[in-house]
Formats: sequence, structure tokens, C-alpha cells
Amino acid sequence: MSSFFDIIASTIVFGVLTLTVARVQTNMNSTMYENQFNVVTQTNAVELARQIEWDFLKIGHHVTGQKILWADSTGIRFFADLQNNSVVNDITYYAGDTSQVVGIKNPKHFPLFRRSGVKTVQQNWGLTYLRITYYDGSYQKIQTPITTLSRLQKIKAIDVAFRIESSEPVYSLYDTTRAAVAWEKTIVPRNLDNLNY
Amino acid sequence: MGRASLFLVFGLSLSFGLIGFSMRGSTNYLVAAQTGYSKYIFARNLARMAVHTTLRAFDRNLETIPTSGTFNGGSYSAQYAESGDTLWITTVGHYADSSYSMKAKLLRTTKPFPGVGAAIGIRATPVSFNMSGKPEVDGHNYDSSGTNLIGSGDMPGVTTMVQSDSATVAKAGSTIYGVPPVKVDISTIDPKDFLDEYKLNSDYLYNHDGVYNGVTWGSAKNPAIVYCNAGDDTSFSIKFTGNVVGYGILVVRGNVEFNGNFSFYGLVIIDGFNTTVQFGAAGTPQIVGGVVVAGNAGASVTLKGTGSKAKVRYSSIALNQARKIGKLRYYSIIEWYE
Repeated sequence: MSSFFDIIASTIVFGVLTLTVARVQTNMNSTMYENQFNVVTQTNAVELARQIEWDFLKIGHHVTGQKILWADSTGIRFFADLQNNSVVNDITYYAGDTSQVVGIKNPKHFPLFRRSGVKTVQQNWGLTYLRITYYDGSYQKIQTPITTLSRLQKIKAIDVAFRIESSEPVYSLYDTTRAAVAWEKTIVPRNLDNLNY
Repeated sequence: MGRASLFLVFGLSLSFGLIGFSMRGSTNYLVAAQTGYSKYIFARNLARMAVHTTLRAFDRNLETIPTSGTFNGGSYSAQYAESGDTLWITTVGHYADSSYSMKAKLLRTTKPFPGVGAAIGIRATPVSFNMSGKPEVDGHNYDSSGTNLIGSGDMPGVTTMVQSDSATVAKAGSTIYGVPPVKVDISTIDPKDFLDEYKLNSDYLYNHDGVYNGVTWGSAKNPAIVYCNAGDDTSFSIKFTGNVVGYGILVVRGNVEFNGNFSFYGLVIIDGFNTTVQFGAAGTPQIVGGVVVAGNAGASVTLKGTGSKAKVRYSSIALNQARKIGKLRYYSIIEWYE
């Protein structure tokens, strides 16, 4: 009789222990996913921020004549000597649309295209928002799109804002919560004339 | 049963350990990405700080321009080369294992300066002009000490805004020299637009009337801005007596009297409601450079004295030195790479 109760009790203890371990495992998995998504989104945000800063800070370097060719709220084309070797690069940034990203579970993702000369690279950073704003020397906003030479020459500062989200939901396939990072910075390219120190 | 429990506990411990290690690894990677960006930003700020530090050292006319420094756990280095008005600066900021480089080519220039095209340029009307004794106003171009003639760039002795005032000045005395001695020149710039900036950047600020002696303002290598604000009192509010030497820009708001051994090298701006400028009979006050007299309702200039030195001598070199006051300097970017 005593052995019978021992077996029942140990079975219950084993069941409770198993359920506890399973629960802990589930929570740990969720945390790991969350961590991993955070790593991916934040790393992507840092890399994209550094790329934008690297390119935009050089706008107009070693360029005689027109420095920015067109400017819109999600794209820009400019000339810059990126390597400081007296070779002027023709750089274009523009946002794609959501249909250009395949195999991703986040329906808001769209790609960013960076064209240098004739070579275009599609970059899938996990962007869900991109906004480029332009300011003149008095820090007055210039309405986009900016296409005429006189208005393009007024651009003295560029504010870039973006949001990157994870491709998968954090907790479950049916969840809508995603890891996200927002970044914004006003960049003042030093080679856009009329800048004094 | 006991052995099985031990295996179970060991197995669970191992599983939790692996999961914890994995989570720690991803967290470490996340932190590394964030701190990497932070270090990169910090290094960039240090490189920019090096540019600022170098330029401010130039502005302060330091004998030795610093080529390195530290700040908040980071460091920076700066190298420069110059040719005429062009300045090349290369800086590198270091923070932890990150570094950031900047290369700038700058054009050094100065802010607009209300120059004067005469020994005394009067930008007020009507003018009351009196001379007695042996005062002298000379528009010929002297060196920065006011001792030797340059031989070129001679200017009028006194310029006024209207012909009737020129006639008044010409009638006042025969010791006004220049090419010509007296002339109408309406291009004399009204200095009032510059006064606030000079006040803001002044090295010496006298915000009340008084008598000043025994002071030295700046030096030939490091000219200064002196701002005396006497107000619009019709009595003599600012009076300079013995042993006053200055270089740069002297601004006097209100009435002024120069006496004794007063020597100023550079630009003197006298501005007020109905400005009275008096060079007293005592001593040998002298201004080498140029004087702008401006006023909203006319100006009164009285020159007295028995001293042998000229009271006011035009010097383009002294004016140019005053123009190069570090605080009024700014830099236009020709090229910037970072």
C-alpha cells in the first residue's frame, strides 16, 4: 500500500516537474527569439545608420557644379567623392515597395535600393518606415519633391528617419508584436556651401 | 531511483546552462553592436573637437597650436598646414578601439569690418569741427606704428557726408593733410550694425562713464576689442588720460575726450546721439589707423593740443591688424572629408 502511494506521489511530482520544465523552456525560447530579433534589428539599424552617415556626410565633396540632383521624401540622388580619391560617385538612394520583398512574414517590409553609378544593390534591412526631410540654411523645411536647381541648391541639411522591424513576430506565428528600432538624425553635409565654422 | 534522480538533475542543469549561455551570447552581441556605434560616434566627436580646438587656438593667436589632447577617456590628434588664407587640418579622434578621421580645407577670413577711408571719417551731419593749437590729422598712409610713410594708399584727412560739412572742416584748420585733405565721401559705413557684435565679443567692457588711465589693451600680435558705453550724455562721459595704449578696435558709445599719452593702433568708432570728440591740449594723444565718427543727430569734433605728434594718422596696416582680431575671424569650408 505504501509503495502504491509512493508511485502515485512520484508520478504527480514528475508531472509537475515536467510541466514546470516545459513552461520554463517555452519562456526561454520566447526570450531567446526576442533577444535574437533585437540583435538583428538593432544591428541592422546601426549598420544602416553608419552607411547613411558615411554617404550623406560626403555629399558634394570634390564636386563642382550641381551636388544634389533630385531629392524626395524617400529618395535622393547626389554626387560625392566617397573615397577621397578625386573620383566623383553618382549615388542614388530610393525606397522600394512591399511587393519587392519575398519570403518575409512582415507585410510592412520594403527594400532600400542604393545605386552607385550603374550598379544597384537591393538592401533588405527590414525597413518599415523611411522619411528624408530637407532644410535650407535657415533651417526651414523644403517641400518635397525637390527637382529644380534653385531649390536643390537651397538644401543645407538632411534629416533621415527610419524604422526597422523584425521579420517574424516575437512570441508566436499569430502574434503581431515585432522587435523594432527607430533612428533619426539631421546630417549637415559640410560641402554644401555657405557653411562657416 | 536515487541514481536516476541524479542524472535527471544533472541533465536539467546542463540544459539550463546551455540555454543561459546561448542567451548571454546573443545579449553580448547586441551590446557589442550598440557600444560599437557609441564608440564610433564618440571618436567622431573627438575628431570634430580637434578641429574646433585647432581653430580656436588660431583665433587666440597662440604661439603653439596644440596637436593632441584628451577628453573624457578618449584622445585626439590634429595636424595642420597653411598657405595664405587657406588652412588644411587633419584630425583623428580615438575612443577605445574606434578611430575617426576628418580632413578639412578651410578659407580663413574675417567678418565684415566698417573700414574707414580717411584718417577721420565722419558719418553724421551737421558737423561742428574746431581746431586750435597744433593738432594734426594726416590721411597719408603710415606704417602700423604711425612713424613712417608707406608711400602708397594715401587717403583723405577727413571725410564728411555733405559738401557744407566739408567746407566747415576745411575752414577749421590748416593742419589737415591727405589726398585730398578734406573730401565728401558718403560711402563711410554706418558702424551701428557692428556694435552689438563688438560689445558681445569685447575683451574690455566699460559699461559706465569714467576717467581711464594706465591701461593696456591687447598687443600688436593679439589685438583686442574695447567697448566703452558712456550713453548719450552731452557732457564728457568717457575720458582717457595718461598712459593708455591699445591695439585693435575701440568703440565708444557717447562722447569721448582723449588726453595725455594715449595711443591707439587700429580702428576707433565713436557713435552716439550727438557725438562730441575732443582731443585735449595736454599730452600727445594719438590714433594710428582710422577714426569713424557717427551720430544720429550730428557730430562735434574738437582738436586742440600743443604736442608735436600727429593726433590722428591713417594706417592701412594698423586697420588690417585690427581686422584680424581672432574673435571676428571665421572659416569657410572649401573641402571637408570624413
